[in-house]
Amino acid sequence: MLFNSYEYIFIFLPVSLIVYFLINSQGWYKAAKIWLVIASLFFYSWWNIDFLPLIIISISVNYLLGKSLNQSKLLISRKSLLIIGLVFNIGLLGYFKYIDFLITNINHIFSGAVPLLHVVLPLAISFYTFQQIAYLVDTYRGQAKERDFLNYAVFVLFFPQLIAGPIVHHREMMWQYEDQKKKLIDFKNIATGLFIFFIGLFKKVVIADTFAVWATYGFDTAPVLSLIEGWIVSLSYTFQLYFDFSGYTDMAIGAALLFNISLPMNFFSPYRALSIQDFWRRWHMTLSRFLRQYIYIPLGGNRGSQGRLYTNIMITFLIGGIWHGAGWTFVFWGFLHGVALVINRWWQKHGLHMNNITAWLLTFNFVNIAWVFFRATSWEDAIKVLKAMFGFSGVILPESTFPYLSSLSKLNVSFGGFIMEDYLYPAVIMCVVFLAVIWLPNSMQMQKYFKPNLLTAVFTGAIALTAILMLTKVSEFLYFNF
Amino acid sequence: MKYHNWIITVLLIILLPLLMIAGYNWYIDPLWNFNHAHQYNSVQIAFDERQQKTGHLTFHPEPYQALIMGSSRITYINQADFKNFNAYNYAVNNMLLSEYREYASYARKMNGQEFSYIIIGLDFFATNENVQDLNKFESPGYYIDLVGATGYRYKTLLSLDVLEYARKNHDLSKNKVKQNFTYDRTNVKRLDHISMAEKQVLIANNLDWYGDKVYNDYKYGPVRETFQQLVRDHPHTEFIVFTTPVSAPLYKLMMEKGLYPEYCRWITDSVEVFGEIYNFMNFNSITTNLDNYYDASHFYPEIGTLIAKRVTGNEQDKLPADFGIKVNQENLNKHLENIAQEAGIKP
Repeated sequence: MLFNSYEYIFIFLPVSLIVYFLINSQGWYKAAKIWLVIASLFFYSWWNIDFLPLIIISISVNYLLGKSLNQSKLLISRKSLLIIGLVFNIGLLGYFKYIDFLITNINHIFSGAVPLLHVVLPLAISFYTFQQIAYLVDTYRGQAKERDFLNYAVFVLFFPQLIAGPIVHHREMMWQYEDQKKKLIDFKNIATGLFIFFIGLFKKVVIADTFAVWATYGFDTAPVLSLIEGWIVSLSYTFQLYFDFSGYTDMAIGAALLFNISLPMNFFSPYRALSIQDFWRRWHMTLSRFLRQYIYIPLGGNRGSQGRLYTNIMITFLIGGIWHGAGWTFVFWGFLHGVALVINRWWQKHGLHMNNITAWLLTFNFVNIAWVFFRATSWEDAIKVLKAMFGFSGVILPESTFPYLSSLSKLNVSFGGFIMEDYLYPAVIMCVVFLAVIWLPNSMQMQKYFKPNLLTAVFTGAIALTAILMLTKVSEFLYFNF
Repeated sequence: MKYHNWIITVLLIILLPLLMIAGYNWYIDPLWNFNHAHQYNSVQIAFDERQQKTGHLTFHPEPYQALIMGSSRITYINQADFKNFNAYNYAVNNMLLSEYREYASYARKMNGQEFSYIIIGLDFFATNENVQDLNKFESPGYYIDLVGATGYRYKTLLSLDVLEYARKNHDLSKNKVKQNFTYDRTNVKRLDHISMAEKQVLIANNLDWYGDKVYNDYKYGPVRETFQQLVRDHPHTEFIVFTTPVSAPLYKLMMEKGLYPEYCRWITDSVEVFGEIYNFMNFNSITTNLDNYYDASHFYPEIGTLIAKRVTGNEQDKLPADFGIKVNQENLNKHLENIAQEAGIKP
């Protein structure tokens, strides 16, 4: 079930919330947890019930492994048990997410014809696998201990964070489910939760989905793009992704808060970053935390030589790249970020400085260009957009600028004839959103300073109403030639 | 403000307008998902006939005896003109060969019983496989899934886009505006006469477009196979098939582009699969008179009435004798020879 659906907003969320507090009000705390698990499994199965057994198996095996890791008498060493757990989780993810990618590459290298398995990717497998890997490692390190299966099931399945994170730690969540004070309705949390949830809904439905149209057109449909169109398309995707993902995270944080559960922050104005290191402290923060704690540091982190440090960074980002999707464009995106971070570290090590405006420009443009590889479904599409952005596919300016810039036609600049039917509208929207991203407080800051007054009520009501009314789009198809 | 008061205020700000908008969208019903008809929803803009008609069929469980299919040319034929047939006109803009089967099967499913008749208006343009590339609309499966989704007709009430269509329909209905290409609540589409000057411009544009896009890049598609599959899908249904009468200038253009062999193949395939067809697409007293046309390819609804009469055998004596020639295996070759002769082509 999607957060941005009528079923979720009008039925699932209110019903699950009301029943949860009704059960808790009777003092049936265990029953309330069972209800949360049932509701979460229903939420998960709504899209495709076929993957329900898989997530149940994954949770059961990881719970048993975690429980065994906590036992003093073991037939095999704790380290071996952890390795079994890692192999199980990575194997599961590897099979469902990467097997066809692997076969394609093997076929390509050895000119083989091994048939693809066409494995369908189970919903949320990347998130719940990483979360459980973190749990096993934490248990191995003595930082997590869970004896109760129900608690563990709630930790993994809690529906607000199940599908798209944030990726949470056992230790930051479980005390919240046990806290007696959190079993009671808290109107402050409900108000704040609604406030954040509807900000997220607006970001996803109104802003991200608007940009999605232009990005999809430019990447997937248009055969060729000119300079301005190339930038409109790439920036559209840059904003689409941010508002989509951070909007979804806001909805997760808001929905969890209704249950008195605080999820960790996941985005903090990443497009204001002044370096690539700064960017990764602001973008998908719980993934960055996972990569740092469970890959980068175990690899050695910044201990050892500079060469070792740079290698560790590259490995971490290559893994981060392929985690996002089974394709070489994702790997390359990870590679680009790895290289950027290596340069960033080298720059810092040598005590070099750059003024803030240049630093921001460089960081933002690098991130924007790297997203092209992240979004493109093929190298050809990525190159098409990049060629346009750097002027290799021609420069077209608006017809109205001809009287002032006609001399540019000597430089092969043409006027009018855009492929995008209406380039001005996206350009204006982009400027407005761009300023908002840079200057306005982000949703986490808005949550911090939230006050229940008429202004915030009208603001929340208005954005919620607009977003709900835009959940269903009915487009026009007029075609009179036939 | 206390937190619980804030929550109540927000919920009221959201829910009250939502209820009002849903009520208004339901009252005007621009997606044709409900049954009510009144003076304020009597004019309906056809913003996507595939979605609207699929919704209409889904939520109006009337058992129809006949199904009418075809492109925009057929949308202007009043389904009531097929007297004693209780027909539903499921024609949509630019319907392609590849769409017939899925829409026909879905219509039968919604009808709850086999149709006694399926009436098809065949278009020569649709035989061009490359026409597919000129289209940007979704496949029948998309619309069928969309309309069949849980709560579709109630969810769409909460839509800003639907509100905009509802507002336009309301304005047109309230002011009794007679606007071309709009429908009434009985699935009848409007096409009023325009001046000859306007018509000449449209015809010139049509001829350019067909000459450039449709007849220049022509590849005969899987016509026979599609028809055969359609007949196999509906073994207990009688097919009434006819070719759509385009205006003489457009027909002439097709011949000038050297497409007579493909035209013959189309007629032959149709006759061989369906047994007999009515051919309206030639030089005849209707197609040669531009008064009968809105543009080069769309005839006025009154011509649709004549077509309905011809193919259903009503008032035959009042119809122009040369309009709608019944073609079957026996007279096929002779008919095609006549076509070549009147077009000045050596068969």
